[in-house]
Amino acid sequence: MPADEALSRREFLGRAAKAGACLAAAGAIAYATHDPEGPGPAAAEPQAAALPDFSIPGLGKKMGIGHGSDRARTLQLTLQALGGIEAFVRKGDRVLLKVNAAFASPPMLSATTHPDLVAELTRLCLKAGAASVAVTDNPINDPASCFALTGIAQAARSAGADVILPEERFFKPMTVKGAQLIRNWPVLTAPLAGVTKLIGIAPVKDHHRSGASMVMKNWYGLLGGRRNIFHQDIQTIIAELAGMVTPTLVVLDGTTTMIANGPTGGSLADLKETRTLIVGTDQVAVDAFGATLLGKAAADLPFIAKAEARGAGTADYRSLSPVEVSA
Amino acid sequence: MSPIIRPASAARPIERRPGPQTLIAAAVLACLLAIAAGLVWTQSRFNPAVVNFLQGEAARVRGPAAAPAAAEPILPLSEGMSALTPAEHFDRETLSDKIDGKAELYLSAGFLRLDCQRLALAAQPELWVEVFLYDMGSFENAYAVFSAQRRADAAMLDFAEFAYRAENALFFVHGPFYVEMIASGTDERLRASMDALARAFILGRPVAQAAIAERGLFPKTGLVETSISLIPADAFGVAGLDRVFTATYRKPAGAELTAFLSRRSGPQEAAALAGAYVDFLKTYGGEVKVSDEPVPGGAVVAILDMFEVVFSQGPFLAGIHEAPDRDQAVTLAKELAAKLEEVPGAR
Repeated sequence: MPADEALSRREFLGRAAKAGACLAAAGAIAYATHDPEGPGPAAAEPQAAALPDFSIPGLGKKMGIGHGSDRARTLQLTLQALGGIEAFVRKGDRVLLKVNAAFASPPMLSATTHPDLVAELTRLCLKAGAASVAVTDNPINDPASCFALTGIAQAARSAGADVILPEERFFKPMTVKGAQLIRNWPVLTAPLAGVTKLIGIAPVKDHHRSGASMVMKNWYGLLGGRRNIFHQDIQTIIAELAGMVTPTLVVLDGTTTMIANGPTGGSLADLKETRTLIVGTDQVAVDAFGATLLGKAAADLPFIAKAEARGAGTADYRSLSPVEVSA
Repeated sequence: MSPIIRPASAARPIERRPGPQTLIAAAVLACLLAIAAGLVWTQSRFNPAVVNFLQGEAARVRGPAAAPAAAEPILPLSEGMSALTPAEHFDRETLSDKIDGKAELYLSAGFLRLDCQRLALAAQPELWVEVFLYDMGSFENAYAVFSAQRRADAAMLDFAEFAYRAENALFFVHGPFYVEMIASGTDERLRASMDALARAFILGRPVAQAAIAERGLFPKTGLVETSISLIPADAFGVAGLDRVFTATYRKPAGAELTAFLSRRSGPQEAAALAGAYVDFLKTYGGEVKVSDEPVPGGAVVAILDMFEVVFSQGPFLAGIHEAPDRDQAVTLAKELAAKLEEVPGAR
C-alpha cells in the first residue's frame, strides 16, 4: 500500500475479518481431513478384528507346577493335576499350538520350544478328541530352517499336527485397544481362523533386552513387519501382546533354563537344569513364577506388572494356589 | 483509541501504542505457534507402525535378512567340510533379524557387520557348525562383546589371546572380529572341525597386534584373570558411562568384589564423571557419609544394603561396584588407586 494512503478503521476491520475467516476455514479443512490413525493399510484393506478370547468360560484360573527331567512325563502329570487335558480341550476342538521357533538352532540349546513338548501336547490334544492340531510361529530367522532345525516340524507332524509356516498373506493389520505400539500392525491371524483353543508353549530364557523371555514374550512371534523396532520399548510391547492374546492354556518349559546370554544362547554353558514345567491359564502368573527360575522376582521384570495392569492376569501366582507334582 | 495507521509522510513521530491490528496480528501469530506446537507434539508420539507402512513394508514377513545368498563360504573350509547353507549377511539395520534381542549388545559396542553360515561335515551333513563372524570395527570392541558373554569355567585355547571352548561351541577374538562357532552337537569330530576352521581363519586374515592396556591396571592379588570385561555403554545403568572395564576379585571367606575403571579424556572429565555417578546413586537412595573418603576426593555410597566406592585418579574413573562389605571395598579401592598411580600422568 502506498505510504501516503490512509486506511480507515472500517477498511482495516473488514480486511482483518476476511483474513480471520480464511484462517478459520483453513483450520476447519485441516481438522476435517486430519487422520489420527496415520497412513496405513486401514484405508486400503480392512483391519482384522481383535483376536478371539480362547479362554474357557467358567473354568477359572488354574496353575500347575511339575518337577522332572522328562518333559513329556512332567507335562502329563501336571495336566492331570489340573483335571487332565480334557479340562481344556474337548471333542471337536481345533487347536493351535503357538511355539517359540524363533531361531534355527538345535533343541539342545533350549532357545526354542522343545520338540518333545510339541509332540506330547499334540498327542494329548488328539487323544482328547481334538479335530485338528496345528503348530505355528513367525520366527526371527528363516521359517523353514527354524522349524526343521529345532526339530519342531518333525515332532509336530509325526504326532499328527499340521505345521503352518508364515506367509505374507497370513498377516492382517490389527490395532490392540489402548495400545501405544500395536496399532495398524501386521499380525499373524490366518492360522487362528476357525481355531477354538490356543495354547502357547515357550522355554524359560534370559533376554538381553527384556530380562526374560517366557510365555508372554512368545506372542511376539505373532507379529510381522519390522517388529525389531519394538525392542526400544520391549517391556510395553510384551504387555500389549499379553493384552492382545487370551489363550486357553500356556505351558512354560523350565526343564532346562537359559540363564545367560539370551535369547539366542549358543553354549550349553548358558543352560541350567531347573527341572520345572509350569502349566496354567493365567499367563502373567505363569511368567511371574518363571522369573524365579532365572533367579529373579516378578518385580525385576517390568513387563509383568505392565501386563497385570492391562488386566492380562495376576503377578501373584500364589493366589492361584498352584498344584505341585513331581514326575 | 487513536488510529495506528498514519501516512508515512506525517511529520510527527509514529505512535507505537498497540491497537486492534497489532492485537489481531499477535493473535494470528499465536495461532500459528499453537499449530506448530501441536505438530511437534503429535510427531513426538509418532506410531512406529506408520514408518513401517510408509516404507511399504506393512505386511512384510521377512526383513532384509534375506539378503542375496553368497556362493562362497565366509571362511576357508577345512578338509571334510562343506557349506550346508548359503552365507547370510547382516548390518546394523538388520542384525536383530538374526539374533533378535541380543543385537543391542553388539550395536552398543560398535558393531559393523555379521557374516554367518552353516558348515557341515561332508560325510555327515547332520553334524554342522554355524559360524558367526562379527566385524566389530576394532579389537577393543570385539573384546567388549567377547568378555560380556564369556562363559564361566570355559577351557581357554591357545590359538588366540582371547579364545575359549564350551562343550558345543568355540568363541574367540581376532583383530576386529568376534567369532562364534556353534555346533549342532557335542561330537568330537565337530570340535576338531571348529578348531581347524578357527586356525584357518586366523591364518588367512593377518591383523595388526593389539593390546588392551586397561587389563593390566587391575591389582593382581585376588583378581580372577578371566573375569575382566569391558562394558561398552551405559555401565551400571548410567547413561553416558561408557567403556568401563570391570574385574572380579575373590577375597578370603569366599567374598566376591567387582572393581571397575574407565580411562577418560583427562582428569577433569574423570572427576566430573565420578561426581555424576555419585549423584546418580544418591537419586536412588544412596547415602554418603562425609567421613567416608577412601581415597582423596572419593566417596563410599551405601545403597540397598551394599556399598559403592567411587573415585577418580588422574584420567581414570574407578571404584568398587555393589560390594557386600564396606571395609573390603575400601581396601580394594585403595589398592586400585595405588595401581593407577603408577600410570604415567595419572597422579
